[in-house]
Amino acid sequence: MQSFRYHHLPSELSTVHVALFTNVANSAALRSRIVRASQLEGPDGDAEREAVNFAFIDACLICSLLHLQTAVYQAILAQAQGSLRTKTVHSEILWTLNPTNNITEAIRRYGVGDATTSLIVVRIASPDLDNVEQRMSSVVDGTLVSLDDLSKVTDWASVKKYYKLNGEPALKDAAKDPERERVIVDEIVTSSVAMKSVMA
Amino acid sequence: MWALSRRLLPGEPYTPSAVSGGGVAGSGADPDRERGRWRLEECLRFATELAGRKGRRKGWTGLADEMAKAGWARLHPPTSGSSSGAEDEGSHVLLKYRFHKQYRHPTLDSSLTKSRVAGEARALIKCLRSGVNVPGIRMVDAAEGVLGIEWIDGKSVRFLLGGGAEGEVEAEDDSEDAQDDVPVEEEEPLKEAADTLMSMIGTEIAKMHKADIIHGDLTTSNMMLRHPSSYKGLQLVLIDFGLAYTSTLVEDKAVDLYVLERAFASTHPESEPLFAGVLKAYEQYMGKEWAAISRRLDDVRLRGRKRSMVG
Repeated sequence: MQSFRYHHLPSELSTVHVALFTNVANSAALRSRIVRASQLEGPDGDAEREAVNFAFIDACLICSLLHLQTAVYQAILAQAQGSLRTKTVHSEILWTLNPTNNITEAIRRYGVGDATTSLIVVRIASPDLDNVEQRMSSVVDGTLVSLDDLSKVTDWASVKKYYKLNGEPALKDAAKDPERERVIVDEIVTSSVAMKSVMA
Repeated sequence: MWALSRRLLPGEPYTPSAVSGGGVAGSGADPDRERGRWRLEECLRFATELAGRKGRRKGWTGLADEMAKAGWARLHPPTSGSSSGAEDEGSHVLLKYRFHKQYRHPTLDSSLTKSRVAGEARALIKCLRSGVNVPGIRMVDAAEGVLGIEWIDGKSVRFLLGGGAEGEVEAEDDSEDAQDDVPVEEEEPLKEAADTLMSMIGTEIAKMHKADIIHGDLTTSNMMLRHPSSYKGLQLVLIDFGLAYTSTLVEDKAVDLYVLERAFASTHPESEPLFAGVLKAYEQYMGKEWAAISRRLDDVRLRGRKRSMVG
């Protein structure tokens, strides 16, 4: 797990914990648990919601750590300025990652799905929250790996499809060089995420 | 920020810390490396203070000294260039801050700032998708007027052509920047390098115009040559899309080229062969669209940038 601090942001949003899990076995159960948690009422519901109070992101669609950080940062910024488009800062990350404005589509594509095997878990919290890694591991049944392994799980074809990059002039020159193409795709996708809030 | 820092302190502009890594706490980052970087709030404080000080003294003269005395210059990154390895490249972010204009009505000010930041970001993403080399976007805060873009590790074309930096003594030593493609010692290879550079410029502008983006402020200061050791390799990068807009008109493209021609003529000696090199590469890339633009460029040269008012 990796943690980042943004000292200039309000304290309750200033710390970001990110972890990458591979070989995730309980993605279907996790998904239904999140859905159920949102419907529970009373103190039980609050406890359950706190237990799954993370952003669960399909790691296949994340190009680089910078891509993820950009989305997280823009989501925190929206929360800090009171301009959230979705209900929580965690779902805002998913919305920011998706190229369109459709929230359901964002959650379906970038959130945890029944077939998800690698998962990025993000928690935005105040610096006082502890045991975050333990909390994450108790929810996700998978292997906690270093974020450097992110590049191994990225599904570039899907990324290109969702961002409609096939046939873009930018990729034509680099079509024969996958290494270069990835740099270009990463750049376009990261930039798109960064400017999501002012997208035409 | 870009404009401000270029004007205020000699050397390269400020390197703010990565937006995303802004104050990476306890992740084992090298403190030496962290020291030279700026965090977002530092940049904002800098820009605000700068605006305030400038407003009070009504000019730029002596501002750098005053800020340095107040402790700001210490934050200027070390010029050692090679200190950042390839692994943390892309993590440097340049913040372009449109500060609050006191002379405008707050409502008008915020909507103008917002639309300008958004416009610049849209122009950049359109360029990226069209394969034009431009800095990537790292963050957008339209409400505060902050645009975070990728830090380009390199030098402006104006500097490389010997035009010097704008209004300041350039204290860089050439030896560290003398790239294999831009040698400074001999005449002949220098000319060759300049030709290559000009054709890169022409190609990049042509790519941009093919995507129907008009830069609006093409000058040699708004082009940078990316350092060959950076992970994207040697590239000519167009920067500052603050005045960019979308247009399919031949007129706008011709005027864009004319603006660059005038910029060449006013900042570089013997600019004619240089600009001819730019046009040659531009012509090659544009193909059959060139004929119309060429004709219009001749018209524009006769009458200047503005159309005459008729009717």
